[in-house]
Amino acid sequence: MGTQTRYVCFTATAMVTLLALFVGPLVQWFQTTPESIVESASAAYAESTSRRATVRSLAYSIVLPICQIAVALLIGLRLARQQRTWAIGILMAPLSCGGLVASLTWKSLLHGGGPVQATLKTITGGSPNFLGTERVLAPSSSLTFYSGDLAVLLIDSWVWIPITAAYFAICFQRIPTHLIESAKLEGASALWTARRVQVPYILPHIGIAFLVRWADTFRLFDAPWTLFRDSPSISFMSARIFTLSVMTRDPNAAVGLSLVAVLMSLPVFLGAYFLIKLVIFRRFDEQ
Amino acid sequence: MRILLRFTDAILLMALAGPLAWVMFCSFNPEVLAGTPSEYLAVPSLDNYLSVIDEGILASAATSLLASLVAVFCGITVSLLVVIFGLLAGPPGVHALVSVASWRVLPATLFLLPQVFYLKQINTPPLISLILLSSLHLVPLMVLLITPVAIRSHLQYRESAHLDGASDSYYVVRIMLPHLSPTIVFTCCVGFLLIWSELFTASLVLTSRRQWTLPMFLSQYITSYSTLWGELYASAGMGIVSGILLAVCTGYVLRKAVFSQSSTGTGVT
Repeated sequence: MGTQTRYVCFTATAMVTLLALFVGPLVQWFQTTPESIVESASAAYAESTSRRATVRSLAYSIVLPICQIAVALLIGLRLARQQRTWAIGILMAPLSCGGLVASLTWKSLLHGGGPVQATLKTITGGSPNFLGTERVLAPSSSLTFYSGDLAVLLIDSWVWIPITAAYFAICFQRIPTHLIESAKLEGASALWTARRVQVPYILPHIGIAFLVRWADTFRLFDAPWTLFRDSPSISFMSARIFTLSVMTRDPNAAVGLSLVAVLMSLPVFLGAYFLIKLVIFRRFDEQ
Repeated sequence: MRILLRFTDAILLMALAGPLAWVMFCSFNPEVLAGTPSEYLAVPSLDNYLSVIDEGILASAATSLLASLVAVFCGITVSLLVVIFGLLAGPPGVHALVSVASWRVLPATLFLLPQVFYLKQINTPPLISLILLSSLHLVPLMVLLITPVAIRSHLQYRESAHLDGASDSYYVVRIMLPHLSPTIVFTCCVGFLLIWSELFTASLVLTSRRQWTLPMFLSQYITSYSTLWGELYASAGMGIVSGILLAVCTGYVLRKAVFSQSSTGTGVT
């Protein structure tokens, strides 16, 4: 057996093992439960709270990462340009504290008697109830934006924008210096260099950051759970699945809801597959 | 323009550090009512901290640390093997890597619940289950983070290494891994922080209070009826202190690993 064949065999074995570890228990689950996959999924989707929770999670996962990555790119660019390596540690702090500590921290800041509400009331005379369920926007019957959603947005951004900015700063820092120096010698402005040299160079990393953020926002759990538990109004997919599997002890419904979530996220999954292939692996294919 | 940028920096720093400072300030106040510290308090006290230490926060932190370290070690070992062998295998291996990397975007709960029930069925100890599940779910993320860098350095150096007569093992150990080291460090740091603060999986797997992780310990102070603010601030304060220590360490390691290599001009992103 040649060396190349051995490598291919090893890779194939690794892939099959990983696939079996992920898919095996799922198959076994459906073999041992009386309900079929379709029954579980349709029962989960028929329930309005679960449906709303999934739609809300999906909407969040599309909008939030785009905004966060745009802000993180600006911060990362500035950090790299200023060579502020010491800032990397500071930017890791929110994620190091964890989603739960971040949620608790912001809950103490945003609740009725907290400093944020008090300051806003002093300045503007009123303040939205950040932990309440006052309706702000209602684009569809399944998707309503409540005042409490502001807190969830804030917490998620507070945790994830800094670490994403640190990631981008590291990527920018590792662009070969001759590329940027040549642009400077040609008289390019900082904005032009950023737009035409730096950002295109780290495009695969931006793609990765988007995918990672997409997946993490879709299964957002800590902030909604800490602030609202499984409130019928502000419900998120993971919190709903957790309630179904642990609180109400109906794991079949929880797996059914997970399946619904997978079906709803299938276009994004396929998009991600082709994006990864196109952005990250293009160089390999080209060679 | 410079003043505006400095002002933005100050705002960002305040937004980052302000909430943490607020929690630390409140955690030393024993008379926290409805989340707001008493106005009449003059002497800071450690009462809240002593209370949470009595309840076993240190044991929970130790469990979190152990689970995170072992899970990251297992995850990075598997991921590196998959990525390196995948690249050496050529196009079929690389296309298999695409599949593994794209699993990351599937909702983890789909696989997680059946995996949890399966592990319970075969009587796996809860802590081992947590470590296994965490490392398993870290693999696609780690593959996703390491692969682009690995591809770039592979394309840059593989052929020259072969022309110079380097064997595959020499190429991997002496050329590929040193070039991947900053990315490996970053990936390990991110993986560690994710597992350290993981609540969802831990809540599904760990049932006994003795095995609670730090996030599970913290979550007990919020009930459906009320929030125990004093203990909550103290435990969040301890979470923040440990988080800042972790951030300083990971930041230091990253600076050493990433920025020292970038000055050599390798250009491997």
